[in-house]
Amino acid sequence: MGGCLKEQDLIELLLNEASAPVQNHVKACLPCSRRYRKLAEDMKVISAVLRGRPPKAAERSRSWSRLAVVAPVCASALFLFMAGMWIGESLQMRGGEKLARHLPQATAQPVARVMPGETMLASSSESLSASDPITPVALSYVNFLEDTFSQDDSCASRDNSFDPACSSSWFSGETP
Amino acid sequence: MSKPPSFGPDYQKLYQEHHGRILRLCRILLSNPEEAEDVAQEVFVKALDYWGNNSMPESWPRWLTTVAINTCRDRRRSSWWKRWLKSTDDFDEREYPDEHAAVEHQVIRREQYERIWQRLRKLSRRQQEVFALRYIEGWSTQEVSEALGLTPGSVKRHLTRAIDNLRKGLA
Repeated sequence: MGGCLKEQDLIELLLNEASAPVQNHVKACLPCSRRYRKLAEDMKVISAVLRGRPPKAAERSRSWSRLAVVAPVCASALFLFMAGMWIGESLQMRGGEKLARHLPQATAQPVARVMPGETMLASSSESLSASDPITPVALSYVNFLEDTFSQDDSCASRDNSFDPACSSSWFSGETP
Repeated sequence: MSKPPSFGPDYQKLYQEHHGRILRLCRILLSNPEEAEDVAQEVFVKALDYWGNNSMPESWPRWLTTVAINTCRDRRRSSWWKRWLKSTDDFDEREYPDEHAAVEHQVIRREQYERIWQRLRKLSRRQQEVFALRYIEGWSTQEVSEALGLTPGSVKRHLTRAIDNLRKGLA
């Protein structure tokens, strides 16, 4: 037999199941012989211990090891639950606050931007200062809208088909 | 109507011869003395039922061992939560009937004793069973492999790992 024996071979030898070459090797090889003697001594002690009653510490460690598994699981579940509650609540609150803060701003901003500073709505005064510049483009757009709506108003109450002034705006340049 | 089980001299002899061995096996497999006693009693109640049915196994020692292993397995599977709740510090210092063990206890240091038991508890169920049958009960590899439904090579591997782990408790 070449090298030294594996642990499994020594265990088999201890349990009287080793082959003849293994037995011969242990007799001839000093390191293996020492390892075998150490194994036999250790197993004698282990066997003596395990023939007795399990000690208190073994039982305790069982309960503590269980507790060590159960406690973190419970703690993390509780943490997740609390975190979920907190996040939900804060989202609700923030959502409400944001909506309350941004809705008037969102609606007032376009109006405020196209209107002169003196006629600015009271609710928009927080979001826009009086010094906000009103661009010429915006002003011309307001004028355009005013013209359009005033024209529409003149024809709104009438039937377009019988009014040449109104119908002309519809068919101007398109009739063959 | 079935014949009531009798506590005849044969059954008493069987009990006296094997109760200590079965109890020791259950202690190794469960690491809990109270529960091991429960299971050992359960095994002998099953034996009594078997006896009452006029059934005779090929080998009573082997039958008892197999029933003990299966009962321990069921117990471990089913009631870990109950055991966890029940596991308290009420430990009595009763000595064991095994005189050899009692003598050895005086020599072995208490710490080492506890470490070995802790190591045993950390072994897998298979390793515990193989170790108990092969080393403590002295069954052959072939017998263990048949009883546990493993190959002989697998039995050897489980045994080697179990012994390696237990020896670490001595270091």
